[in-house]
Amino acid sequence: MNPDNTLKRNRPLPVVLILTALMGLHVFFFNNPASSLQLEGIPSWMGPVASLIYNTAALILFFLMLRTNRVGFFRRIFFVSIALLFLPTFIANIIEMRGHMALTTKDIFLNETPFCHIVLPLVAIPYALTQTLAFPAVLSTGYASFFSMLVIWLAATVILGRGWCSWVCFYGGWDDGFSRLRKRPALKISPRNDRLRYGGFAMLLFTLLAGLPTLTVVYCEWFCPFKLITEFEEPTGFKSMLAFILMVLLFFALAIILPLLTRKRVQCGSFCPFGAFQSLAGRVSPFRVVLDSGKCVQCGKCIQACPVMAISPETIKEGRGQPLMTCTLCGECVDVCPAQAVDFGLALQKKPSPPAGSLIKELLHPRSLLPWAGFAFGFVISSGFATGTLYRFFHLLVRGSFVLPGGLF
Amino acid sequence: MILEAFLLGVSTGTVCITTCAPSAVPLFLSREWSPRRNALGTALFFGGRLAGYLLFGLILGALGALAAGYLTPLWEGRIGALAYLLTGVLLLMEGIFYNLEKPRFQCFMKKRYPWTGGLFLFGLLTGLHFCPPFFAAAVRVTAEGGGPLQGGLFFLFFFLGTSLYFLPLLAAPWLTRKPAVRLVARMTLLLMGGYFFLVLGLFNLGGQL
Repeated sequence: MNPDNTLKRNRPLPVVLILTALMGLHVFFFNNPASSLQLEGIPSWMGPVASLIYNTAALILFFLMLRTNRVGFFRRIFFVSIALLFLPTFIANIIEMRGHMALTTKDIFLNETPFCHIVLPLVAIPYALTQTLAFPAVLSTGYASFFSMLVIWLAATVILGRGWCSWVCFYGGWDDGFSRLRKRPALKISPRNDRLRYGGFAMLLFTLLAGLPTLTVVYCEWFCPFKLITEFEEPTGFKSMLAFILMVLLFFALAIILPLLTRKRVQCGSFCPFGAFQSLAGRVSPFRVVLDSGKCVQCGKCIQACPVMAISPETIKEGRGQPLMTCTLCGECVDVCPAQAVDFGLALQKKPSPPAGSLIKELLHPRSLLPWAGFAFGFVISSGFATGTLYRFFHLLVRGSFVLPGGLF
Repeated sequence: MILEAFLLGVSTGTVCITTCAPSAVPLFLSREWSPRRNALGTALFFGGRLAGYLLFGLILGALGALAAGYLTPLWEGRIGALAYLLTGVLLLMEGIFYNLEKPRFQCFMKKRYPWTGGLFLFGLLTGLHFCPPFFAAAVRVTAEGGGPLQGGLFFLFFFLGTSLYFLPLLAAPWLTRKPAVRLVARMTLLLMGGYFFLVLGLFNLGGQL
């Protein structure tokens, strides 16, 4: 084991304070309590207090992440929180908008469904052929429009790449959280890591091709497990009822049970077509996890820790220097490595950089930049609905209802 | 008429691709073939499609206006659903049995399901996944009422026009050098086979009967 525990010691306080201060500016810019939503008939303190609570919690989490150098652990807390805070506001908002979660044919034709990032790669070919969006979403205005999601996705992909799947996606916290509840897996899948890793790519190719004959988004129609916590087609006939049952089964199997049993993010690592797409599109990002084969003691902890099976024994033996392209930059392997052989780095690096040695270099190091960028994007995506959930919680305490008269958005 | 048929194929070939690519792409990407063998496989696949098109061309040409009554969404749905059902079965067999790297399975499949016949059958069934351009050609032939030979010729040149869009299949060997690509394609075969068999085949056929 490398006795140099420089990377594992607490990060220097000046570096952490500067990065946290910069994050504070970012946080209060995007979620300013002074300009929080004020709804008529609702106490004026609720909005600012909700914003302040979320901002403060986020900054404390960010500070601890950098100070303790446990990026994977604190990132996971933030990521799971995003998923849990997303659920109540989204469902409440849908009910405020149309009175029910299920999408009727009329709702679909109204084209007011919030746009989901998962379908971004799946609407491209139908759009190219028909110049129409094969998803009933608003294009440019209102809540969660297509263009706003496209802009966020473009920016996050260029900077984070597949890091979207561990820092930004408001669904991923489900299987990420459940995959870490048990200390040991009840179902070991290591020998088949290789094949399961490519499941998402198969689902991507399948949904792209299967959608061609009908120019629809087959993944949404039949396979998306997260419709259960967002919105789904009203089960009025045999096919829609079957799709509903499949949705429930897939959610419990892929987002809860299998992650719990295997300690792997089964939905995100082996099924989600968007994740596979991000593995390809995200190669433009400058950030990577880097592995130093020279320092590696071959304990295999990084292989066990990786929730998306991006590190294989061959990665270590062959001295590849980086995990496979399915790496989501979650930092779990960085946390567990006893030899400090794993760290965040840049695209062309084959081993981690030595300690920076100066304040500026430490601030500009990937181990500072990547967590900062990831957390920043995650905050931008989550601040609206997270604050909204807190706001609704206060409303529940004061007025006895989680649903707001007139809606929040 | 020949030029008209060819141009109809060329101008609507992208739509043709949308119905044929779901089975053709994973099928060709799942195999580790040399360029020569891939070209032969592509030719067999094309041969199957051509056989299907010619068959329809001859029948529609012979029937003429009598066939017009059968060019309806109901019959299109029935024949299409049946074609998807059978294609789904073949895709599942392909994904489960043929590509397993075990001599026992390969011997079994080679005896009962020669790859040559299999590809021809795939092409034939894929041709029966009716698409709007196919219907446009069918309507043209039945309206012309020029007999089976004219119908066959029309569909032959229509087929040639659409086939230009399938030429990228010849590039498959350069992609399938990577084992990961073949593995992903094999998984896709299974998913596609199940989807074709159940959703586009069985459920649709149930709805049509």
